[in-house]
Amino acid sequence: MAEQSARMPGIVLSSLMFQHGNTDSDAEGLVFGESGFDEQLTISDSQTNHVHIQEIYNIQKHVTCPRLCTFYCSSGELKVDELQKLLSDRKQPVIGWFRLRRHSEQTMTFREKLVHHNLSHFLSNPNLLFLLLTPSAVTSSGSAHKTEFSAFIYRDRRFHNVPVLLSNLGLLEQNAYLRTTTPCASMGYSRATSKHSRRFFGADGALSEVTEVNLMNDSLQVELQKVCSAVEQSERSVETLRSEVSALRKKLRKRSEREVVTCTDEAPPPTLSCCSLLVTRTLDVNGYLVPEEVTVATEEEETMTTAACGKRLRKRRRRQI
Amino acid sequence: MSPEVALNRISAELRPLLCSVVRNGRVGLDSTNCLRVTDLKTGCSSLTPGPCCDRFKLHIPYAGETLKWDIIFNAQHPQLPPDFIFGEDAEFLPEPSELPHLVHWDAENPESLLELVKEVLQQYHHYQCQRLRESSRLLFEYDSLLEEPSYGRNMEVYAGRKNTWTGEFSARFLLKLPVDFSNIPVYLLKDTALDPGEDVALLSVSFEDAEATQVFPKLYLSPSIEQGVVEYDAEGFTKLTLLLMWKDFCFLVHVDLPLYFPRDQPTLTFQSVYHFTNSGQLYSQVQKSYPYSPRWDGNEMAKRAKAYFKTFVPQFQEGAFANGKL
Repeated sequence: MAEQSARMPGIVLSSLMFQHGNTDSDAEGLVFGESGFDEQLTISDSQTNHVHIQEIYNIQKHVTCPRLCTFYCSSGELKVDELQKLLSDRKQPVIGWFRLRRHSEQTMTFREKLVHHNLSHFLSNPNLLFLLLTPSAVTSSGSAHKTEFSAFIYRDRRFHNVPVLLSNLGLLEQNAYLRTTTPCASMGYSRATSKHSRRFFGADGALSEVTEVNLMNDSLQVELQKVCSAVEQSERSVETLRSEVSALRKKLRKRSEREVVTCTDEAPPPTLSCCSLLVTRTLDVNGYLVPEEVTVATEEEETMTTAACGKRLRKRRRRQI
Repeated sequence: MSPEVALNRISAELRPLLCSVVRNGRVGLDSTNCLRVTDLKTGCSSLTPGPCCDRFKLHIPYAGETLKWDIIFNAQHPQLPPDFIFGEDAEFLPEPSELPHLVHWDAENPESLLELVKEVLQQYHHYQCQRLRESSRLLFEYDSLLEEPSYGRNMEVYAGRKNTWTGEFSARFLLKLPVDFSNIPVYLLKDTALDPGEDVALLSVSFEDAEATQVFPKLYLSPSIEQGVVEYDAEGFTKLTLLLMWKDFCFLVHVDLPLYFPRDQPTLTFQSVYHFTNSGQLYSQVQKSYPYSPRWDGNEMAKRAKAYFKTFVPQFQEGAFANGKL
């Protein structure tokens, strides 16, 4: 019996996952491609002729239904008109259908089995493929999600799980991240890309969406700078006010210290009578200073002393005369 | 998960449907066990504000097992009918035409989901009965029970997995015994808010192998029935003791089924709860001759025995007072 496998390009899987990631419910649709048999002939020392037959389902494209239960009803019966609309203008044959179902088991449901049988009968394809993707959150915070995928086919009165191989998705190495795209010299490639390039690239050759994103980024930067300036001014005024407050506090502290010193220890103002040069001296006949005892006196005493000195001076003058 | 927690997390549009299931959800023969809901999840993205759960696991008691079915709605499209994943029974595929509540799904009717579950369960029962064909002996047992109208309509069958290595195959039959409980006294409940459910006696018979050489019976009685039974032989079901009261006179009745019952008549032993004999034993009287016929069914035997009790108990009471000591 032939081994079965489904092959799908990474871009088809990623577009399915991206589409469902932006959908707020389950999604479903049809899958297009081609199926065939691959015969491998192995010649070894032990066996001269070993034929290995593989049945391969190549998934090349998908189309998503606008809503759930578009082409079937609650009991799994097909709505032929809606199905014909989905199939119209499709050049590739339908090889199956898909369903994206969040937070559920990787197994076919009751209605999916009914729809599969009916669709298989309608398309006259007993080897119809059912592709099931079940995204789910891995962590309770929703920071990590996983998407499991598998394919089913009906054979021998039951549904069998078929392995899904992703083509053009090799080993990922550090130096596999290329910064520039490899140029392609194919004429067909150039014709295809130039036909659709206006939708994706601007006049300068850059991706249109990237330009729009950059413009939005520039606007965000301007707004951010305004906010930063406002914050800086605010900080500066706060700093100024702080230094003023600090100076005022210092002044207040000094004044309060000075007032304390004045109250507790007040020195007498200097007076003339203390000056030794201004103290009256007595001279003798020869003009020599007669030594006298000089004391610091209060103002009253000075007045009395001054008066007394005056009296003594007059007396000496009278004696000398 | 309590029903209230489940109802708080489910999407608002789906809440009435789930409310009927968790509050009134008694399906199958074992009506003492309610349907339970666990593993509530959502099909919406993580950015959708809650409550938005729209898929869950439903635990359904059936034939002594608990079926765990996934039920999947879509919160963004609440008018769409649910989908099912039947757990380990991957090959079970009910016929849609036999599910009228699915074909004519009415999202506005709160009973829709419960009725649909009942219909799917009925289909599941047919599926299990079909699986009995793997064993001719078990199929014979099933067909025999089916011929009895009182059992055929009140039976749940669960056919276990066939062991691919040994070829062994097991099955379980859950039967609702046709017993008249209308005269059972009112059951006093500690929790008056708790609904004890229907009075029921269920017999579970497990066949551990396809040739029915190992058979294990079990009897399940609803709480109100268990209250009236003091004890009974849970293996052979040959002895039963009842505590009865007649005009404020309480007494025990021991019923012993002989080896060749119903050919041989059961022995009834009346025992006073107040009086002792000189040897210190409870005063009792054994009756082996009373109205009886082996051709009566179980209900008729119980009815006739009850009638006999009414006539004999006054005489027994007099004897207990006269010959026994308090």
